[in-house]
Amino acid sequence: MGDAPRRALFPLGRSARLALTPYLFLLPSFVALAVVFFYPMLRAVVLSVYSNTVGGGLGQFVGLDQYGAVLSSAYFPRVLRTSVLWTAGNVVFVWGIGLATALMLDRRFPGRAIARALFILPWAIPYVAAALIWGWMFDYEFGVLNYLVRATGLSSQKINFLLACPDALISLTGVSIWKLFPLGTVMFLAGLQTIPAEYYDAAKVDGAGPLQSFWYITLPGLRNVSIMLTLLITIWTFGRAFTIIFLLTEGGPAGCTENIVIRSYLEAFKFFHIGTASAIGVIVLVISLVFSVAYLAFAHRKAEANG
Amino acid sequence: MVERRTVRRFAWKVAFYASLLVLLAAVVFPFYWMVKTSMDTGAGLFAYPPRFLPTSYALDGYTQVVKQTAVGQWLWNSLIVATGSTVLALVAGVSGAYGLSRFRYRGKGTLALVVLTTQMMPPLVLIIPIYTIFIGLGLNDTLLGVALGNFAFSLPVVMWMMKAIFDSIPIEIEEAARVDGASWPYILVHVTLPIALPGLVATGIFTFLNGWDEFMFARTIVSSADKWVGTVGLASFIGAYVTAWDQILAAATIFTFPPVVLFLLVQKHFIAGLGAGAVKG
Repeated sequence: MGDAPRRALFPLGRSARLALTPYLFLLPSFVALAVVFFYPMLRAVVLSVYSNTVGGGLGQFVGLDQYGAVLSSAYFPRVLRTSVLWTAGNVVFVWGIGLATALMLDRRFPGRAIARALFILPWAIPYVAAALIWGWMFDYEFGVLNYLVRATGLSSQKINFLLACPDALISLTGVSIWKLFPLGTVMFLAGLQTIPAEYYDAAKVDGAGPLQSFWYITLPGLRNVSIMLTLLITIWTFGRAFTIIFLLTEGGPAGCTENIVIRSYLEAFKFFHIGTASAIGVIVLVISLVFSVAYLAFAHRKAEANG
Repeated sequence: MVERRTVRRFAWKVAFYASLLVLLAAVVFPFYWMVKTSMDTGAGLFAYPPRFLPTSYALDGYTQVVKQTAVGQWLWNSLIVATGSTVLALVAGVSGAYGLSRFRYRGKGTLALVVLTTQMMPPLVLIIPIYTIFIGLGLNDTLLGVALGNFAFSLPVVMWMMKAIFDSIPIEIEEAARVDGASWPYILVHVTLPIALPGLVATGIFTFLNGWDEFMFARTIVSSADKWVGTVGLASFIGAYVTAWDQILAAATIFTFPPVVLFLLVQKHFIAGLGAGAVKG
């Protein structure tokens, strides 16, 4: 008799409760993801098929007109090109510098621990502080970089780091790479440590030089890390490049550093075109998704062909 | 023969150290320049050619910026936001990652991919609808709102990192406790998490630095100046008084100090923990 109320409270059998367990673990995080990612993204899709209004409410239903207007606009090819250049620059150099520094830190040498800490330091600095430091170093009149480029003979004239095209885009990409490459260092370092030392010993016995070892052992051993790093840097620098550009040039000079993210910011908070801004955001998501799926499919197919 | 090899080895060593030092100098120089400038006085600040060694160790920039701005308040707000979002993200993220790593159930692989897709949604477009939700909940212009936003923005990465760490812990360790009749939450807290502690610390630091670093969301959600976090406060220097670089960089140094110290204290664990996630993920 005493069991009856308990049974009413817990009507599920043991197996049913077991089946529910994983979902209970997932519940809090997925509720949070739904509130901050999925619902707002859905809302952005809805906003993008309505006309812009001043108040931020829904205007008239316009179907895909916002998309048509964005895609056929004069600025779209330009901001997309800037975003692609920015992303490609970041991926190539974060990958390259990350791998180079990881290979250095993987060797034993005195002071290795200090070198490792220093290489990863830029990762810990806040973006806003990084923007302020570099803004001062880029300064046309008093900036130290303009002194250095001339003292070292890299350039005979002062460089307009932030106020000329395409110099400004190159400068800002450089700052972004400086801030991001430690992620490559850390990931490649971890990857290098999973490659068994015996592989290198065996290659040495077979008469392989350092370059051959690198090409046939190190690079294939870093394959998974490399795929993950490339994917993350691509989607992050494509869809999230904001703070450095916003603070140092706000997309200028003459729209030269205006990428797709800055454009959607300007549409939303400067021109109050919420629908247009949302349409641009959805376009960013679609490009990222298509790229990720294609890239992962390509990477895995190649892995199968090789392995 | 032996001699040629020794020479080559020596040349190789010189090339290695030379490239190491050049790269290190390029990476560290901006930090040095920030601290050096923050201690300069007017003459040293705008000297040409620039003075590469500190011309003074004046703390005028620091005292001025502390007196004239609410930099202490900004730091305190950043601390609240970063700590709050870290605690929340670890609690929800660990539980979620455990659910993604253990058990067998329908849709498991899809859910892991769903977490990855959040990283492709541009935060900027999410902020407008979030802002509307926050107004409805009375969370706009509050530090709690900023902390909640940061918590959710960090959550996917926390789940991803912790899932990789849990994946690397063999399930057999848990099975003994399971046979003894322990519940899953008990096992997670008392058996698995202690093993995953280095990874958990790394993930926590990662989240804390994210919260300390976040700018766009805080700038949109918060309007009153007494609730500015450090990033918003620092950004307000841009265009405001452009020539007082010693003060601006003093503020930047103060704001950079906590994350850098935190990072240097735990960098060894951090690299190991993040690395584990990277290799598995």
